[in-house]
Amino acid sequence: MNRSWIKGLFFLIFLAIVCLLPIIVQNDYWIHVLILIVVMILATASMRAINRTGEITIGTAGFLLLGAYAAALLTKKLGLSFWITLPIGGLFAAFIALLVAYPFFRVKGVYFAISTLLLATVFQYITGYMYKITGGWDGVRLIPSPNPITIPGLFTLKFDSDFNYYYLAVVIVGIGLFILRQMEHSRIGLVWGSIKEADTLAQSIGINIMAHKIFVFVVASFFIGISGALYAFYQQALSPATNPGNIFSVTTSVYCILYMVVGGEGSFYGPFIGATLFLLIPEFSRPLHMYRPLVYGTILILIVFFMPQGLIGLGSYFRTWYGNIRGSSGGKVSPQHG
Amino acid sequence: MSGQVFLQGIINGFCLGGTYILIGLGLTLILSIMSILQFAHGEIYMLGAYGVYFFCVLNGVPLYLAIFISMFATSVVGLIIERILLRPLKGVFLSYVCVTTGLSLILQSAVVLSFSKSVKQLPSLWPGTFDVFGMSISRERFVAVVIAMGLTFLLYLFLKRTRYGLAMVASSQNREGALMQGINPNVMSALVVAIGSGLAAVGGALGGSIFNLDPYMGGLAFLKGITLIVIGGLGSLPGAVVGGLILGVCESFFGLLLESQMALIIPLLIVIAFLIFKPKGLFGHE
Repeated sequence: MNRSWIKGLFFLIFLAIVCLLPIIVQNDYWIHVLILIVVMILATASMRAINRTGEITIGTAGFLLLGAYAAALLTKKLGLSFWITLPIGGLFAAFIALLVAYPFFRVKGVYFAISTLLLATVFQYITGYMYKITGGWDGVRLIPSPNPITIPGLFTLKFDSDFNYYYLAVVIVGIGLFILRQMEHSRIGLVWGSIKEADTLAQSIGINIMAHKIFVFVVASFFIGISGALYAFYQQALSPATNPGNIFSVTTSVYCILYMVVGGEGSFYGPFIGATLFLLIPEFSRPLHMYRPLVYGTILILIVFFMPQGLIGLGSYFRTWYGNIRGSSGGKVSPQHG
Repeated sequence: MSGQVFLQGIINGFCLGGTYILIGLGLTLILSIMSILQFAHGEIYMLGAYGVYFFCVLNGVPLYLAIFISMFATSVVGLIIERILLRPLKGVFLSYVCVTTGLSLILQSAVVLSFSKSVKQLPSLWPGTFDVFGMSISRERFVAVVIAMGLTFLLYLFLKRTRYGLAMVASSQNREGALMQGINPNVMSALVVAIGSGLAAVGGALGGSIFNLDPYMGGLAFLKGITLIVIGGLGSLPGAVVGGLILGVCESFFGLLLESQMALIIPLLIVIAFLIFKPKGLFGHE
């Protein structure tokens, strides 16, 4: 009976934790990790939206790169304000997505996945090649911090410290996640589900599959571009290098899929858990140093084998358990939509 | 550009393509029979190269014998991987992506731990160069192509002339139909991973002796493998061979014509065009 009340309470607690975290950790390095987590959550949640229609993309890093470079170069070369270039970064990624969407969605499954993988690699090479505009393989450096917001007579918000940038990122990512969530829980989300489960059937009842796929691809690319731009203004240096350590390499695209699956692809909150866990593991396993990828890989395989629902599946497990204890029909289990 | 340079580029391309074919064959076999994109295949390739390094450089086994041993050892590793990791997951594409990625991380760090991160070198397959019509062709590349083509031919014979090979072709064309004929899909998937791993190991050994060894060499090899099987058509063996040669020639040819950066982009653009306009590739069926 009080489900919505409990949900609201959980949400408030979650919000309080998110806001208090940087004050609790009080350490620039940890705030750096937190910002990275927040940015990757938006990227992964956007990628998951594409996956809702049943297509898997391994090109997330490519659109991160587009957003980051578009925003960073406009700010650095033309001196535009952060508040203009941030949405432009997203729009640029969305525009490129719109250009490639139609031909790409003519194929499905493995073919689509491979196309996006190669496309992201092409973006990297092209960025490296067009050195006159992008700075080539040396990358872009000294990207200015976001412009401060001044409300005359009251206060000035500056974003040049990591601490303040964290809150900026949280607000922007929060807006993005809210929009994605509303879309998924609206009629459009149901249409995506129907395309995923049975595309021929969906088509037969008058759903334009191609239009919906292109729409979700463009919207998701917009938000991936925004996360790329957020990353650019935080990191203040970008490079298209292909080594696995770079955020714009194939590794990140694959990791986004991992975040989603480990967290639980069935739930909107799966990417939150997956990205947080996977970006924190390296920090806590620092003493293990050489063995880190080993730990990473093992955890990954164990989770896929023993928790096919992802970590979010634990929630429904506990709900069942709680329901059994109360001995009532109160604990409804819905592993698919946590 | 003179005709000689042109010819030289094409010959170099064939040599390059020969080594790519070996990794592509495994990927395409695994993809067609198990519907898995084996993300760890590049690491299997790397493992094969390090196997040769272990036997040949560290323990003094002759190079060609070491390649042979490494091929079998890697096949066994492939069998174990298939039995423990791949078989229990029935057909969920995302789970395969995660498990094979986890596997590639594990294999990479296992190699880093046992052989360190530093770049290693294998002895040359056959030092020196041939001089044909004023062109110089490196002998080791020639040997690499001969070995690659030889193995491809053996695989072809296996698939066309033996019981198990025919069963494999059948199950790649129609899984349910093959099952109805009493072909055990588990045996097929074990076989295909073992064969694919063995071929990738030889590819790694050849690539490793022409270039260098490092624990992260698998990533690029995987990308090349994907590229060539898309050109040839996913699941097609003649396609993989032709795709590998096209890819090799493209790379060395555009490398002569353009700046090397652009030479890397063009094959990828060609592949994307293939995926979009002819998704079944050159030799794809269905």
